[in-house]
Amino acid sequence: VDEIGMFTALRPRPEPLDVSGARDRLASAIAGTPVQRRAPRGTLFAAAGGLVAARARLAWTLGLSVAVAAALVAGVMVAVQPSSPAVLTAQLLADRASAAALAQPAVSPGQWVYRVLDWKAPVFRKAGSTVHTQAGWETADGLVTYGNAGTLGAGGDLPSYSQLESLPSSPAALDAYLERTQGKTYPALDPQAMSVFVTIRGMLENYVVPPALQAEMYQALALLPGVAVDSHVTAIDGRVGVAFVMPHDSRGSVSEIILNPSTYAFMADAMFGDHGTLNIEEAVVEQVIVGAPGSTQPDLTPPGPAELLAEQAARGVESIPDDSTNALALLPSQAYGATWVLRQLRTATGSQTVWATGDDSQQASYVDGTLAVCARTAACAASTRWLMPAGPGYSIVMPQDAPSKLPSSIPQLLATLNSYSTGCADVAGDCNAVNAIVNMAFGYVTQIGGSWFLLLASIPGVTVAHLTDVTGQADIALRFPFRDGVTEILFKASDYALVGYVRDGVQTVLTKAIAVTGPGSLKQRCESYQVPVPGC
Amino acid sequence: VVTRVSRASDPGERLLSDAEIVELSLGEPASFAALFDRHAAEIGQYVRARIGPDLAEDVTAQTFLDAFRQRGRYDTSRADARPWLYGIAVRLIGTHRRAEARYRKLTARALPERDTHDFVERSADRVVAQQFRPVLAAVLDALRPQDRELLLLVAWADLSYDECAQALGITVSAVKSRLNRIRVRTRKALGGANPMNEEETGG
Repeated sequence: VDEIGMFTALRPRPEPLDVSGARDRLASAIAGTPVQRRAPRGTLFAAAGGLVAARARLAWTLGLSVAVAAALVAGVMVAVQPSSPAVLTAQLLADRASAAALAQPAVSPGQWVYRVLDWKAPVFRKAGSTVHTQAGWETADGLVTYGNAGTLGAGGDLPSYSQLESLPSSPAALDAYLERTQGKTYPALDPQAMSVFVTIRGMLENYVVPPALQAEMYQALALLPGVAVDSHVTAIDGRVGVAFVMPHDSRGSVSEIILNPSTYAFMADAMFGDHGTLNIEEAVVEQVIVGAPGSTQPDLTPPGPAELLAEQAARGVESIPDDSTNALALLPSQAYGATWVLRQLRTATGSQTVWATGDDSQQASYVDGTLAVCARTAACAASTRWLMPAGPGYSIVMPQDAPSKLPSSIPQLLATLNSYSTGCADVAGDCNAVNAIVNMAFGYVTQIGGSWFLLLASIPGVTVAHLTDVTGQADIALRFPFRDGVTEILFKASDYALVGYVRDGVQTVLTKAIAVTGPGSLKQRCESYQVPVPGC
Repeated sequence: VVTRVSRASDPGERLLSDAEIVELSLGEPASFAALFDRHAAEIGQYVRARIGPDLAEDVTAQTFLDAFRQRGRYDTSRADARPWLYGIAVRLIGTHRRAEARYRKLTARALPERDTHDFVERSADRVVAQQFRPVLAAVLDALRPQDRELLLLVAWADLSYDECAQALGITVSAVKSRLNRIRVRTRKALGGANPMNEEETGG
């Protein structure tokens, strides 16, 4: 008898676990709706989620359909109205959709799109016939999201938005290219054609595809072996549409790309399983190109430099790869608060090393050769304090296993942050909010919310400046029209990482931030990491 | 698109492997739900046995959320996803070490059950092993966490050596040598000899 087998005796009586709640959480994650317990990374609502490992942006956080609000394209549809009761073939549908696509305005990658989506996914639960509605904002390239944006059927290895321009421009070549690069084989009648269909659908959903390429995509769809049309399908929101239909097998499973029957804009999609049972369907109820996240008013004005910088920075914090050098963000959230963090700050006059616990409850630095350790708010900390303490506390911004308690909407966030008294003069100009963000971002928050940057870009009078900082690095700065306190926030020009600030005329650049074994220690603390970390 | 992932009703049809479901879910995320339906009960039961009912649901949910997020890195040459899922679950259990130890002590103290359930074999081996529960519990307590994880994957989850190696990201020979070390320790703790061999008729 094996000794190992004897340990079976210690196993508690096996009892089944109710996993229905777990299934719902998975379904939520798949569907891209916010999970209650943890905000998904990749939406700006996840201001400081405290995930164990920051991960690359995930497929389900992508989400943009190409459909443009009817208001935007209403004037251009004359040419493609069906004029005769011709039999609708895939080619005819493709021609009409292509013409409609070409008539759309070109939208730049940084422009914001407001979208309302209805979806339902009976595949998740036998009785799951509830229709969910979500509304949110995304940039046209699908890379920065705000609010409850998302989509269901997207995913897979899509070409990135920046690659779209270089995709082959003829439909047949596009098909061949996607077949070659996708490589995923779907258990379908024609796996290659299926993978092209899925990829095109994903791109239509995820990006506002440039008009010319969008036109080619519809042509490419029509060329796929097995693709058919259905001239009368009812989308989830009750609207009737026309669809490209791709059969998966001979048992009735199909995927549909549903277009608006009068504008031929992408409108909905649906996936059916065996014998036509509905698995998932979704519809774009409303989609408008707007000026900024939070707005629902049509506006085709391209974003200004401050907004573009903020979007780039927001994208940066949301796509931290696994091998990130931002090791602090990789610490388990439960370990972070008590961990001592060493920070090196460079100014024009020299370099300063300061220590603080992750939650910034204690700070430490050497004063005249003696290590002074003080509570963050204590009087003795005057010599060690390196950031003003004013701002939302750690437990508000980074509560354990929960999303940030800061408001998620930008106007509310601005109001909340302005309510902290940071000692600056231009209170009417939102200087308190700017100072509070700097205190949080450089003081104790490892996962910065992308919406913070969007907030900064919306401060009245903000401008953008290019400069070389005290470390000799090229930076781009957001510059605020304040008399004192923080007047500039610096981003690295190469990757838009947050690197420093100017407070009361002194430029400070954070050159190092690592977890260490204690106050005053230079030794990197490695044991808490569950993933490989540089230097450990 | 979630076709034929749950049950092959037609003998001519082939059930999709876990690997195929994961691959499918790259393009059709919703099909990942099929993997959950296949394995959540088993993983959930294991997690519950490890850390108790209070935390088990959350850890099981997190296991599949992590799996979903990491599915792009799944090695599709492995048809069975269970070792991968156990590996994720074990890592998460490791983040609740205190709760795990508390629950382990609680259940080790519990009186041996009269096994009337079908799923427990009422073998003489098991009856004998019940007598040595305190000793075995002490051995389990004293193991390094990584050795304990391995041992319990074999003893409680019935994973093969190969599957353990996949779950823990170590080689099969490392699995074997670590299990051998555990055998030796256990034998010593039990008094040098394997009591099983002497008490074939006991109980």
